[in-house]
Amino acid sequence: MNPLESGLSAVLDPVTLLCLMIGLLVGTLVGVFPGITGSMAVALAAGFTLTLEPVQGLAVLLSIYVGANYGDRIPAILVNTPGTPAAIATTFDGYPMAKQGKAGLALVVSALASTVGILVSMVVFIIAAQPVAKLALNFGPPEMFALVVFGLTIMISISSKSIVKGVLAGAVGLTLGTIGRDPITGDQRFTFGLNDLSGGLDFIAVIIGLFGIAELFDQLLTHREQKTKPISSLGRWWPTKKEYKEMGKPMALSTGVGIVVGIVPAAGGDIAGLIGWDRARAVSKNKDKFGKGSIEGITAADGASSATLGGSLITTMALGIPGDSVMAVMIGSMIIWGLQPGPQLFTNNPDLVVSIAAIMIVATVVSLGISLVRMRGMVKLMDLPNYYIWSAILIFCVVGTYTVTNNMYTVIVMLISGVVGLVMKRTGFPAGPVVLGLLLGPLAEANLRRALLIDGPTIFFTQPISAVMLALAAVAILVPIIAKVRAARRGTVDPGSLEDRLADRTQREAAESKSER
Amino acid sequence: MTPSSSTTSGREGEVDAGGERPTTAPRWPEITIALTAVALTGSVLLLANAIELRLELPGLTPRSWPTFLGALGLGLSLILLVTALVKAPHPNTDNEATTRPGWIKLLLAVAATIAFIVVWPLTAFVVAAPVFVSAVTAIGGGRGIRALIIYPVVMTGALYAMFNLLLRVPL
Repeated sequence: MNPLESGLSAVLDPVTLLCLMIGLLVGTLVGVFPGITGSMAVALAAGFTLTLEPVQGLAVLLSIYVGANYGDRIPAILVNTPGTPAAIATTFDGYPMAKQGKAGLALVVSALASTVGILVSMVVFIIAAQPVAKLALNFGPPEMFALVVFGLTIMISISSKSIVKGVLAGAVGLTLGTIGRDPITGDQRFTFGLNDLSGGLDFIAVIIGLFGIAELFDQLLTHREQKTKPISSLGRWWPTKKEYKEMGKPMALSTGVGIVVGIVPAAGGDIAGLIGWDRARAVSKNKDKFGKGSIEGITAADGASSATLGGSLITTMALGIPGDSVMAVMIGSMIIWGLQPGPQLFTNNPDLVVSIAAIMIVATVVSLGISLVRMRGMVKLMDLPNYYIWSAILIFCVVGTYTVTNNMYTVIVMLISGVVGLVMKRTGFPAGPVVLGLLLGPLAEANLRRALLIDGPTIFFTQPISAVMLALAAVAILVPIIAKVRAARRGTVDPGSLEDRLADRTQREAAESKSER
Repeated sequence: MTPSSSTTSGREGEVDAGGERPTTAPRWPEITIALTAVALTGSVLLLANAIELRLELPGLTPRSWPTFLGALGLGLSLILLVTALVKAPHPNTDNEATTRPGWIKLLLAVAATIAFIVVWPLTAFVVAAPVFVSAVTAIGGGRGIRALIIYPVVMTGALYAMFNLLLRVPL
């Protein structure tokens, strides 16, 4: 059987399809409940899928990823609260549409845009992943080290308002990655004589703590009674011919934006959605409608954020660098299954790459079907009291972590990571670079040491690929710093994150138009 | 249209009545954070230098990478400290305000989790888990037979069935 047949038949296996359906259900539910992110759900599910076959486990994890991408639009449109950060831009036009009695139309437009976004990005994944992996096969130690540094710096520069805090978080992650035995000599490092630490920190325990427990603790700490009631009058569902036409241009633009943003390591759907929405508004003939219930706006936001899925798969599977936080978790699970994402995956397990693409496409098509069924049930689910969700998440975190090693020590690591994650969240340190540092730290160190043994420090600058990537890494760190310094010199306020800039600009424009009236 | 009010980070309430964001914030939280970072990264540097080597190999030793990371962390922490001392801090607009009941809920949830971790190996999952779920549900505000008895029992049963029967992982 060739890899194509083998990969497809693995996906069409009834158990795999069942796993896919369970993943979609879980993912959609995760998306519907604000505060539970896709990375949190995938991290949690990782503990449960370790005993499954890799394709079955990937079916669960990838379909959660896809399902959450559809589910998170529902509260964004009906309650003005994104189910996950990827749906932030959906609220800009989705909720105004719902308030105008067009919630059903907004849900359908959002589902169609998301479907096109994911499917087009998957086509790009199918076409581009193998050539990228082939190119990456030529990477030696200096290129691999430079790639890791580049991935880390991109994540640092986009995930934190403070570059210093972002770099510090990345350094902490890299340091955590040194706990255990040295990869070359086997010397014990930071183990304090504890046997449990000699194998290093368990990656799944750390991410469940940082993404799951920390998020849950933050919700407990800040919980207030929800005042906004979901809009239950959904109105008409299907777009008219004119509305379909309106969707075309923003769809094409935002899908391209989403794929490019997705390829950038660590830049996820939230950033893509905001950029896609902003760019679509910039080229639209109906700029003034954006933010007031524009079909173009919702199409652009959802098309862009969904198209990141294929983009981040390219980075993850072809280079072994996580495209976003969900993919970081996915890499952790794959490593536990004995699979190493990266260029070698395409030569060693080509059938698995086919399975991954097939799972994503099947999950997307099924999700579209689910999304087009009237979602009154989902609206009712949003009324479920938080205490059920909190207690379920907490026990799932504990049990899911325990099953990774069948050792309470892992659960203790998870709980400590959760508390540390909460402190980081409250003090402005991003969790993403910590996870990426922990994941990529051993890779960075091993390649750095090999490269230095080959030709000393000059090798990083004499090899063109590593030199370019290190230069790009420096640019990724320096550009935000320079922008801040320039803003400070001009006496303007620090622009903050992209989300803040867009929000501030939209508020300013709203105030201006109000004063003009 | 107020996109900012729609984010999960909860920007509502952080904008004052005049529509302007407050521009000043207390200095001590950032100084405390920076001092803690200095202490932690300084410890990493000291511990990295104390790593015992069994073999002396050419190139970087097992001590070099952690030492570099410790030094990098310490340098960044010092920048953080200087910035906290010199620069007027901006208010943190990323986090929703905490509440006193929220703190109590958090501390109780952590205590319940620690108790569960201790009690589970001493008893059995089917004994400890429903009590834990019931406790967390109560901490979250759940009341009544359905929330405190039926739901924890169903949740425990579902988890037990999923792991022991379906995934064959003993709990």
